[in-house]
Amino acid sequence: MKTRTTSRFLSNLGSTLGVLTLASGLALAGCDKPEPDTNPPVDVTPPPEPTPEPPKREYPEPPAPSAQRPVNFPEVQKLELPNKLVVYVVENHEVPIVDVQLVIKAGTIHDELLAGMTANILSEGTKKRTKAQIDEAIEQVGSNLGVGTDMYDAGISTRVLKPDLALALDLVNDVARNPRFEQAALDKLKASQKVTIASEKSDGGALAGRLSSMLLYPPGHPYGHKLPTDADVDAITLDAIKAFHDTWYRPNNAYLILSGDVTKDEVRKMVEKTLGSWNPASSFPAHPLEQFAGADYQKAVPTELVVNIVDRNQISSDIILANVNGVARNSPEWNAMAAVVKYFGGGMSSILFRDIRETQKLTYNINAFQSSQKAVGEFGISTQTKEVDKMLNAVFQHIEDLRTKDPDAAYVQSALDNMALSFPLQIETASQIAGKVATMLTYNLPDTYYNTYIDDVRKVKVEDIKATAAKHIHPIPVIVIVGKAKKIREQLANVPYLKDAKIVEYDTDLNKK
Amino acid sequence: MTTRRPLLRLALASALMLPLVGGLALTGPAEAAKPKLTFELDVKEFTLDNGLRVYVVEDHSTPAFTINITYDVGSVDEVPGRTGFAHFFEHMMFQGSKNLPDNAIGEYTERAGGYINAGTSFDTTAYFHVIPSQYLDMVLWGEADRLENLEITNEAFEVQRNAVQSEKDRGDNQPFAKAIEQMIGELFESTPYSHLPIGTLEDLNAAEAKDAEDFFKVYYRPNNAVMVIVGDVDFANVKERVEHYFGGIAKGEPKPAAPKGEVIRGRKIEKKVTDDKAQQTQWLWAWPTVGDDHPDRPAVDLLGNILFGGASARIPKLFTDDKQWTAFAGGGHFFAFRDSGAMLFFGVPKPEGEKNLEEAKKLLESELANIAKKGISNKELEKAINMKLMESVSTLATNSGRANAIAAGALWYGDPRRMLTDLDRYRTVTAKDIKRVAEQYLNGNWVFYELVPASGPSLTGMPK
Repeated sequence: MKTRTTSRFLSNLGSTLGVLTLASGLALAGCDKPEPDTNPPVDVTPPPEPTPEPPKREYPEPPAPSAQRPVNFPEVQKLELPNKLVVYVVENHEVPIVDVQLVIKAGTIHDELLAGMTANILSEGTKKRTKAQIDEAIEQVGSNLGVGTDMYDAGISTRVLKPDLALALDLVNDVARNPRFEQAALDKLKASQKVTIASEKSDGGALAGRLSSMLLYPPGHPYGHKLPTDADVDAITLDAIKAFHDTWYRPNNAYLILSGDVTKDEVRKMVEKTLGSWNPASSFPAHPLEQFAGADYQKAVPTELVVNIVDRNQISSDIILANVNGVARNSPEWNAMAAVVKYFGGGMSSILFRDIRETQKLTYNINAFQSSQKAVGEFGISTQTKEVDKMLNAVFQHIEDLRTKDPDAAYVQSALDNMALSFPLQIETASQIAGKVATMLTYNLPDTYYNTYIDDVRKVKVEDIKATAAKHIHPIPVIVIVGKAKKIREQLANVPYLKDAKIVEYDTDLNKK
Repeated sequence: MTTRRPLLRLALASALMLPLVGGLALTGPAEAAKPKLTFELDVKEFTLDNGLRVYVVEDHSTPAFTINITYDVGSVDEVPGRTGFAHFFEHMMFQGSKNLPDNAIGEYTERAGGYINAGTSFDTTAYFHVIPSQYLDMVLWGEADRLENLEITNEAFEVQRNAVQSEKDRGDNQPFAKAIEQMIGELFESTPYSHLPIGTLEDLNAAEAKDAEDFFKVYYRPNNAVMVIVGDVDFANVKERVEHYFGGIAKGEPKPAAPKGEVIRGRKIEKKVTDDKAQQTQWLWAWPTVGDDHPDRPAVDLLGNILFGGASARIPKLFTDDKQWTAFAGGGHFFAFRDSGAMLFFGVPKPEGEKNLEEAKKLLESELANIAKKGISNKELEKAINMKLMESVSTLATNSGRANAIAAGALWYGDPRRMLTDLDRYRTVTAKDIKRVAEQYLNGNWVFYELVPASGPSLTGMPK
């Protein structure tokens, strides 16, 4: 649960909030086209002299599992109010708490600052309650009220003991619908927003993530917002916030998830009495993703190797290598790509962990990732190291191998087994299930998505890995390194794959130097 | 592998891993009219002849379980010159043992659909798996093997030395990491809590494989651990299988007592530290308090909520909403250690706040004096108890939360239901107690760090 205090620090609401919209299944035709002009990376060190292999130690197999119990995704109750607000109820009566999440499809995809500040101003006071009264009311029952935004949604959430559910719904309804929109509150939030931006600029990992997204997507694309400036913050007006609220904060552009010690029958009246009188909109403006076609994404795909360095005094450097991978969250290829990501860089069994951390000893932390998006997502690798040259040589070699060589079948099987067998761990609590409901709604997945999930994962075969990797992982990624520029430039001289690469330096405002 | 808890993206977050506080209050004294909530925690237990204490909660709602094995060793047990060793050793436990190749304990759990990690705090080192229920035997077999037969080779030692160095670098990339380390050193001076679990680079470089052998022999004994299993398991089966896998492991000597030491109260320490990695100022205030079983602990905890916990708490409301000096402010009894503790208040100031730092300090000091003189309202007490209650119920909502709470209570007090029995400690706190502890522990004699961005390339102003 996010709180107002930490909401900016927890901007990524991830799976707890979601959205149900127009499926913007933007195909990324040709995204995978660019082939490298460069030769495959060459290992700079000569091959070691062959030494006689010591006899391999035999280890026993671990004890076999007992019989597996069936796993079922629980039934989610649903009710729709006359104003088109849909309410989802996830029952779990183990402890007497209820999570309340009102999700409004008004995230940063529409406008990073405007969406964020509209959400934040909600709890600065309503027509009925001052900010102090809101805080007092919810904190008196031991809870707090979180407001915040992620890419697709704004969210208002709280967790209360069951007897306080009516109060929680009353407050959530009040802040969603009746904010005061006072200039003084906006001025206060603007000053806080500037602090938040300065904090982001103090975080090397955050800068690396921001810059790589900016470079991956076409200019102006909502997945790659520029770092806002103080002037951008100052330009936000109360009128713009009111208009944004009036446009998007509507019951037919929102949903409510109640999870925990609650039943559909218990909540019907409470919800009708509060959110039931919220007026729907007759229409909504076009979705921001509709402005972008496949060709626009294609234009942003790099055709030459560029190393983007953010100059910052760090002990180790933050590195991200990423490409737009063409796999939206609702793509039929999602699970195959997820298996590639897990096999390559997800967890202790992955290639990157075993080789780069445990054998080459280059880092504490290295991961591959795949971002969930409605339009085309991102594949990437993120790590930190002092030895940028050795790291890049190793990672480029691994990417090349992944795309061109047959994978280690046992480890691929291990990744697939993990994906299928881990499902019960993902649905232990009511909040986890609520998160899954939000994921289905955000990415427009079928209602039966999690009922067939295990079978769907089992359809991915070892043979799919190489082809999927070759198709969706580019040999020319966006490369971002945050650290001491002078040192990084020296290290890059030892990376044959980048010998002709252009180097672009940025400051911590992410402006080119 | 230190568990990451990304709750506060302040510089502090990377420096600490906090043990869970298992306090629970059902209804506050001022709230008797509300329906009383009751909680059951059906814990079954047994102890092996070698001293391993095992606690089981059956919950068959999902076909998976959490296992938590917590060893009674943390950075408090480290000797000078070997700081960071408890955490470093935790990494070593993922290297090979008699029946497990290097890294295999993780690989086996992952291919079974499970999740494995471990965490080292000041007081304890915990290892856990969350895994589908059919893999109970595999997990017990692996955990017993690494406890009985860990193989510490020089090669494995170097792998983990590098991993930990890189982990430390990563933490030190955050602004003010060094300053916070220094602040904790001052706050807990003369106690074993004065250095962070990650330790110093010098000590890490000086460590040898032999040290790991010695450490292993002393602390990694069945009688120095508790095992908690929560989820889809059958008690009788667990008992039989744990005896099978762990029963033959030899009992060790009781561990040497960790060094003791009392915090130094009543000192006023104020420092300004610059860092060119930062672009935003942070303020940190802290006050030494008391350890977990000190009679004042519940009152101190609740006082932390009343003063600093939440937007309506006294100080954040003043700083963030009324004066608008801070963009965010909060805190509480953040350093909740076993034998020591400290209250923390942090603020992320706006430029207007930076201009008014002296005013801010005066206001904070006068609010502390005010609470010590006039006390608090019953409503404030009720709110603080409700926050504690909510925290505890949320902990009970997950298998991992229950396992962590049981482990902490069992290890420190032999009481797996500590989070429920602790209830009485919180329920009996009165407004008068809060007034008294405010007077005793919180005043203008604080440790205060003003952490400010530096424009130059060097850490000018960093006190030596």
